[in-house]
Amino acid sequence: MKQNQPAPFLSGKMILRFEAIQNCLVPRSKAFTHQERSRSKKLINQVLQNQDETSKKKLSLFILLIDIASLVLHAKLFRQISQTKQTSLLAKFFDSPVSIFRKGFWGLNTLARLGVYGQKELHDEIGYHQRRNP
Amino acid sequence: MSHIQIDSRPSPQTEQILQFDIVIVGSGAGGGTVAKELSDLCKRGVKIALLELGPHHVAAENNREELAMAQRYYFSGGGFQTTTQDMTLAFAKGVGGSTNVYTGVTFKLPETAVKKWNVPGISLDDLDPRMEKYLQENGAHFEDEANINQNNQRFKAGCEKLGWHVDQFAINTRNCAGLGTCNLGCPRSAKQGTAVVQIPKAEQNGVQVIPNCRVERIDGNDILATITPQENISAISTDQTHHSYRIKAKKIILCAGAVNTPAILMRSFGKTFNPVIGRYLTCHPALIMAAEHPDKVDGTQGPPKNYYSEQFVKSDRFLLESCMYFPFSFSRNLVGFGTQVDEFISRYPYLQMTIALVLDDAHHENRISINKQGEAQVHYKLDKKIQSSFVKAIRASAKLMFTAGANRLHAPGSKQFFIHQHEADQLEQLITEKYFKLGQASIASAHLMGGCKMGESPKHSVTNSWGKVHGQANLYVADGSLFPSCSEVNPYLTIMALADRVAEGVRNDFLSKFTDQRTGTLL
Repeated sequence: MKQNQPAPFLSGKMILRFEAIQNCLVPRSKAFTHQERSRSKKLINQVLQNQDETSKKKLSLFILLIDIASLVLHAKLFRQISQTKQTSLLAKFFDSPVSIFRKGFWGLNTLARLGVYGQKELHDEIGYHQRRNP
Repeated sequence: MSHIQIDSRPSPQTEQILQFDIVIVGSGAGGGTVAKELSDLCKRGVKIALLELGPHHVAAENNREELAMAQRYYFSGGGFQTTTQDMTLAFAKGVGGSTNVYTGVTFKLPETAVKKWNVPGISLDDLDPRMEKYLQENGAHFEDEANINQNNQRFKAGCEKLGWHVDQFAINTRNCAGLGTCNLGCPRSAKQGTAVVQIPKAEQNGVQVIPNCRVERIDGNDILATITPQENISAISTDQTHHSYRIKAKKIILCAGAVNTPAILMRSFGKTFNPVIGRYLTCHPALIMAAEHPDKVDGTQGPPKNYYSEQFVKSDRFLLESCMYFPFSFSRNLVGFGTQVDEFISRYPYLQMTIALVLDDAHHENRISINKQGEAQVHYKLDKKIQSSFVKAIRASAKLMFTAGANRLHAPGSKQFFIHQHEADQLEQLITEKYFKLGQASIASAHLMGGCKMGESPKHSVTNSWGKVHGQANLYVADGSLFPSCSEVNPYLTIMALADRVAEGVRNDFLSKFTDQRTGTLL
């Protein structure tokens, strides 16, 4: 039944949190049109819909951790700090000596890219063309 | 075609009974082969079923869209992760299994691998005629050079200039239009997987294919399974209606692959029914590299993979192959983030790609287990030896692509995102183990092997050399899980050869047990 279905992963405040991170990881997303932005969200939600709840919780926690780290280091949420500071903060997770942070970053980075390069409508822009099936 | 009629009326709680003589679980390289090999028994009245977890894929419904097809064909959309979350596994479901999504690369098992297996009865003398049979059956051939794209040509040219070994793969296609999207299934059924070659023959002979059938466990000589009726498949995300079945069989052959066959055995007999169940998993961990050329490479046009190099197999335990991946799959292989990633991807038509496969050793701790829900989990440690092979493979790929004319490249294991042509003589310093970090580099595997290794002793193996599970009179395994260690090459042909051998053993067992010795008729 529809009312019992869990909310999509990217909904409510999670959209703002995730998109701020996505903009830093894959700058092409900053130039998204309204349609491209919706498609990105839809693709990510579709893929996460098939993931187990534990993976989704881990992802939520990791996104929260980025905000906490931002608050500790800069007294502001991640989406409120400058791009330079955002890049520097994410780099700490990307290159962390603690492997669990690197793995969390990899998962998040992969999702961010999925929202951009998973859009077939953007493939023309990067020159990816499939041969036509005769 | 013979399709079983699934009664959609009973409630999900009702257990229905189906009766067969031989039931094959899984329809990939192993199951499809076994089904075809045994199918002539149907003419003698033997009832054979081929159960498949996924659906029948319809070629005409393949739109070649990366994400949609990944979700359709692969387990976890191609993103199944190991428990340590530093490697992604690609294995497929649906009638035809992973043979739907391979690139058709056809290799014979090398003698070095057979010797390492060291299983009495398993020799090249036995396997070679079987491999030859499937080479012919699947139309394996060398692609005409005129159809080979620049991405592949440059791989070959790079190797030749360096004086390295390079050779062409045989590919098993017929009527291929070079669409280049083999890993997303083929809309033309040009690739000769089991869904195209072996299973249609098996169906013609009377084997019943039952798709959308999840095997929960084996109970004596019965299989407990749930089947989702076909009419619910289009709405599977909202309607999970399924029905329970008890499928009776005289012989059961598990061919659900290196992840799911051990999982079914553990769900059926417990995690410790055999000391090595699920153990000694190998997978050819792989890493993709890309380099930008000043002129177009256009790797998307034509068959994606044509050449390989064994130059470093003996010295550093890795195989290099040419390859081409789709935008998202490719993007996740780039280590780092920010504008450099976007910029590199925007040069897509100019990118040459290679893949390095590490020939990993079989270790007891690399294994399949099941969680509380009975779902398979993969435990795999990318140890220092593998990491060291990767670093050497990245350097070798970089050298190859610079030699082939690349301007710059991206190399995992380097602290800088790009390495430029003028730095080509500093690869040893720029690509190091210090900068190769698990969790950063995107490591993947599509060659899952082991978990039900063959052998003589029940203490050290799960089956005998004929795939018969130790201690079980009517239970067999016929898939990549039989491999005692890695095949050192793309494994499908070896799986078919072993499945052919298992089918021979099952036939002999079945006929000797269920034939009236005086009249020669089946009991």
